[in-house]
Amino acid sequence: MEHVLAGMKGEGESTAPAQAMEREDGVAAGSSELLSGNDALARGAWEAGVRVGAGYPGTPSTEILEALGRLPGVDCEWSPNEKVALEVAVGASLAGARAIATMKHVGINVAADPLFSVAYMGVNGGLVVVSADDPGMHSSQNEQDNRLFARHARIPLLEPSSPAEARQYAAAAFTLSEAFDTPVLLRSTTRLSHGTARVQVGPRSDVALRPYRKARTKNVVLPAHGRELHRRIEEERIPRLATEAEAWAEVLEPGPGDSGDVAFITAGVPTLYVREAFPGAPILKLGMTYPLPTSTLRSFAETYESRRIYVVEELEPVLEEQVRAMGIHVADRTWPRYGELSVGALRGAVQPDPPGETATGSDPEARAAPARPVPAAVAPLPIRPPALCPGCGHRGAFHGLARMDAIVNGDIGCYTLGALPPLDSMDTCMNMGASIGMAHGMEKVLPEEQRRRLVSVIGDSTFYHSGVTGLMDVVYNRGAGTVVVLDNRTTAMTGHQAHPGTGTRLDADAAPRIDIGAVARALGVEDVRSLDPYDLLDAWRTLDDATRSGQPTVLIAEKPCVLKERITFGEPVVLDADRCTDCFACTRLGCPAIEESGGRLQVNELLCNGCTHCQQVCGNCNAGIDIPLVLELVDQGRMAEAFEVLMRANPMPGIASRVCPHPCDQDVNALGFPQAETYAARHPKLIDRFPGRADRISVRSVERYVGDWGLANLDLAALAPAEERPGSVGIVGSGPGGLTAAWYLRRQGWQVTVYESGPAPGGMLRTGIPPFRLPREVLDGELDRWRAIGVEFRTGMSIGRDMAIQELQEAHDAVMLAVGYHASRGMSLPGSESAPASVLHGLDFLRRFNDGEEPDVGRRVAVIGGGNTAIDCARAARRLGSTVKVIYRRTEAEMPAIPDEVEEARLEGVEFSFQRNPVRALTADGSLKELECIAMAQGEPDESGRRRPVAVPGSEESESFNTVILAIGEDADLGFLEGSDVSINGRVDVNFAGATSCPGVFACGDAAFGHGTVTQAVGTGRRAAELAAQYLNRKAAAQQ
Amino acid sequence: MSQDLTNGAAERADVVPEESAIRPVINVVLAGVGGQGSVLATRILARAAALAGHEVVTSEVHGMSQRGGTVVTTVRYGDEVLAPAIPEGQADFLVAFERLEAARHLALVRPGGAALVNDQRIAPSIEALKHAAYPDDLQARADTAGVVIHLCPALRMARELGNDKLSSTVLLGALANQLLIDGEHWRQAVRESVPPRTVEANEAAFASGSEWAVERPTFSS
Repeated sequence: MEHVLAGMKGEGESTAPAQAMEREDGVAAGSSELLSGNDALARGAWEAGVRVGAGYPGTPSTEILEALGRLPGVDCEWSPNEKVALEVAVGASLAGARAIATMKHVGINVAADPLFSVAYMGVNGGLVVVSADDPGMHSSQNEQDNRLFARHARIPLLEPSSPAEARQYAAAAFTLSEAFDTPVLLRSTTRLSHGTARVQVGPRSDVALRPYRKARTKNVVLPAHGRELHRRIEEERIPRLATEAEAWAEVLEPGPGDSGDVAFITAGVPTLYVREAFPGAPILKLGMTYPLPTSTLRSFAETYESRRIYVVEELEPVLEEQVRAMGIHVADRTWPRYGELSVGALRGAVQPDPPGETATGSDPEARAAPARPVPAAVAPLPIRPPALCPGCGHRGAFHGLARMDAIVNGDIGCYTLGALPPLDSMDTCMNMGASIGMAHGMEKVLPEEQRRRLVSVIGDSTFYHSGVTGLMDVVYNRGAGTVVVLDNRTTAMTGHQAHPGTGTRLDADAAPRIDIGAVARALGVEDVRSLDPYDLLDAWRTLDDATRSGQPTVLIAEKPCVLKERITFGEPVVLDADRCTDCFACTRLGCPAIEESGGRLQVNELLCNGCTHCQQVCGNCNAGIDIPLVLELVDQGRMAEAFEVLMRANPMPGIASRVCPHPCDQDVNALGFPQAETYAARHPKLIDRFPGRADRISVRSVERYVGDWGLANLDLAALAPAEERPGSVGIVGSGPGGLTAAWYLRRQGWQVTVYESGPAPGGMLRTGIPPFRLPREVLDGELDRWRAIGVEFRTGMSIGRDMAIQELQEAHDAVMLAVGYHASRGMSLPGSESAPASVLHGLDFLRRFNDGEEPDVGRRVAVIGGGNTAIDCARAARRLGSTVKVIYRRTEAEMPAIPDEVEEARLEGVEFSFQRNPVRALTADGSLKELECIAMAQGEPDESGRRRPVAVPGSEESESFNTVILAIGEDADLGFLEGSDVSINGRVDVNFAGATSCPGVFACGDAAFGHGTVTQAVGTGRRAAELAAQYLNRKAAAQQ
Repeated sequence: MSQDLTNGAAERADVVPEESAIRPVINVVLAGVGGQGSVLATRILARAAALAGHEVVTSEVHGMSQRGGTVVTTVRYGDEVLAPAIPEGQADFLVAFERLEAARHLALVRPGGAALVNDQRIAPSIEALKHAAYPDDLQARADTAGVVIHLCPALRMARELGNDKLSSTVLLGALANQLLIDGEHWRQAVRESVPPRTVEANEAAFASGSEWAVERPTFSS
């Protein structure tokens, strides 16, 4: 018979009419245009007179149907899924029209059922199925090779290599389909679909509809009919197609540059890689790759018998195995069975000149990539993965799911990005529509504690695609699943295609809108609610309530796509840099509009569209505690959960609530959560005790209330890590930063050893903070938790003295530096050398006091300084019975000490003398008698922005004191890092997250981030622990 | 044409057989951040090259590009072009719409190649910055790779024209009369590729980029 391809080759010469015709689509027939592979496939189908197109969007196939829909005379539709799309195309074909179904590779799995049966039935009008495969998985969940489907379904397979061939093959495929009474599988790949090249286009053929005829034995695939149909396929269709395949094969004879020792059999895009990598080499290029052209293959193999023949294909060895099965000897494949091929990869994999042989016409040097200077070690670059858009409603839903620590069965769409850090709110994502069925299966098995956190999350388009049947199963089989439908009213990820819920069709006409809630109710879901992802606390309440309802629940978050609809909610959020505590809680939303610069956060006003998600999570807590959720849970009396939420951000709430300056109070009350007045009425003890603030929730009191609940009620045994992980961390320092890092790392199962130079863990909590502020039963009570989960403390171990930093690095997979500020700053005080016992350093004095010693400081004590150490020293000395005066060289407003502590000190009788500085100690008999101080005026602002204190000459005055305590500041003692790769700058040099200059070494707390509160150390400890855990995970994965 | 820009691509022995009239294949990589307009710029370049009579092949990998990720596309043109993607280390020219993406894609450029870089920083996610800092050493990296960098303040120039989004067209304007494509073909390609109501603004942006290039002694010979 006449070969189908005859007349199609040399396109532009034979098929183009004499004069170009201007078509409605603006592409002149007979002219050449730059078309993508997808555009060209659509063009070829259109030229072949296709009348019906159906598909489901999926990268890289989406643009085929979109392009076809723009051309006149074709009825194109987005079907709810690929199976329906193919069934529509089959129906159109049987009714007499040429029809095409388009989908991405995994769509063929969905459409496989009709595909395998229509293969038996055959066609009336030509039927072409396009599979756009994705080697390299640029935008897919797998890289299955759909060429295998053709062999499996017993249908011909065409593989164009370029946009020009895509047009040509698409057109010829319909003729082939009709001539052989078979559907045709046309396979593209990402490189073809999303590449463009010049394509010579032709006019549309006037193909008449074929009459519809009932053909029961053909179109009703009963077993009796099917047996005969299958026999015909194997005995008639496939052999005839094999003959036809010969016409689709093309031999490129050897040319200039041929090395003389290799030859290639290939098809599709890899043809171009072969031609470019091995110019002049003989190539057998196959256009039809199932069934194979056996005669051409044998004659090619015979001609090049003396050469190594490579079968070049991506992914599965589909061609190679068939060629070998024919008895043809080919060279072993030397490139992987996964990923994309490229010119470079092929050059590397196929060596034209095996050892011992001489090149015969090619210089292998010329083929190698040009030499590049060996690069010096350069810092790695930050990656830039895709993210949910600023203001995306999905973010609010995932925040709610993270808040409830949900076990989330996810699905496929933009919202799959919710699986990535920092949202990290998805446990599974498998295939279109899988979320609901998977959650139902988990529900059957998981224990109660986990079962009640189960949620499935699915997009609108995916719900119509195949979520409906899963939901039906939940209702029918008495499940109680919570299904969140993230309904952004479009198929967003593939570029905003229409679907049954958009009210539009592919060609943008108005269409009936299928209501998801109505569908769910019709399926028997009695509890269908809306979920507002822009009100974060309300979203959590809805999720929390639904998962506890004990019946199937569908929550519809219907918020249009901000990208498609160009939605702006309001003015960009303004971040008050003066009040931001750098807790980074807002960054857990993963919003691209929140940027980091020099350790501080800022809102990019060009990106922010005012959704206020970030404002809603800003509790201004240095540790990043989810304050609104804690308040809500306390209000509901759910203490265990409130405690668990506190512990997510702060493992020592009992400690922190007693020593934290609670900058949170102002913000939480400003947010009006949850209506402070109501809270005050219900929880009178949790309201601010200071006069004038009686309408304010005291967040510190709530934290202390919940923290103390934990101390009294916590089951320590239940805190043990769920699994042990193969990696160890050495933590230097057991202050709040080190303890926090130890907690989160150990809870994840890493082996944690904390090195403490003192006799007991606690660091500054024990040596620096007096018991009257932090009762030791609270400190020791909370520290029991660390021992309970298996953190090993090695006390009396000083890194640098008892063990070198390098030894520590060798002993552990990662190191966390949390050494704090333990070196007191000195000051020059002439005369003090004559009375050494009367001049104390603040931290030394506190250490002795906190140890229970009662240092003899005499009747009158001067404390020099204005920080928390100074105030603690003053209050401690007061408790020893002395009269105490705090002398500070700046104004009261400039004191860094916590204002409430200053107030307490005043109430205890501590005196203050501001804008004065000691200049001389007057001594007698080795004891201090008087301290001479000078008045200080305010000078020019210094680097801290405060005005520099300047001595006022002649203002010296003396006052009688027995002891002077110097508390003018502390530093980190980092001598132990000398000779290591960790760079220091007065502190440990870290980025905002706690990474040092040395891989595997992290740092937190004062020694890395500068003088801060306990809560700040907790915050930096948790963030550094997260980073260290990611490092350990990567290291463990690399070692496996 | 300017030797500075293509840095002697026309003289490369491996692409131009001796005594041949065949034009060399020019390999251009375009790299940017989703939303910057690099896909449109790719189409304009491809169209301009086609208008100049070249065979053109482009390749782009997208799908998630609108979500702020890295977008990299390639354009190859000459008398005969085969593979859609440029073999690593063999691009003649890099058009980078952002500095970090310039640094990231330098490895695609051959030693001796050149890069035109929009002098703009787009912060990567905070999550990414935890693990690696935004590079401050673009020039040093380019020196190591043997690639000549041309920094163009395209964003600032676009802003002066009233629309940040014009910066990609400004950048293309800086390529006018370069890369074996005449200015007229460039301008025609811009007109035919951009949305009709933005033609005037894009023409102005293109002209602004062209003027910038002319004023740059290191940029045009």
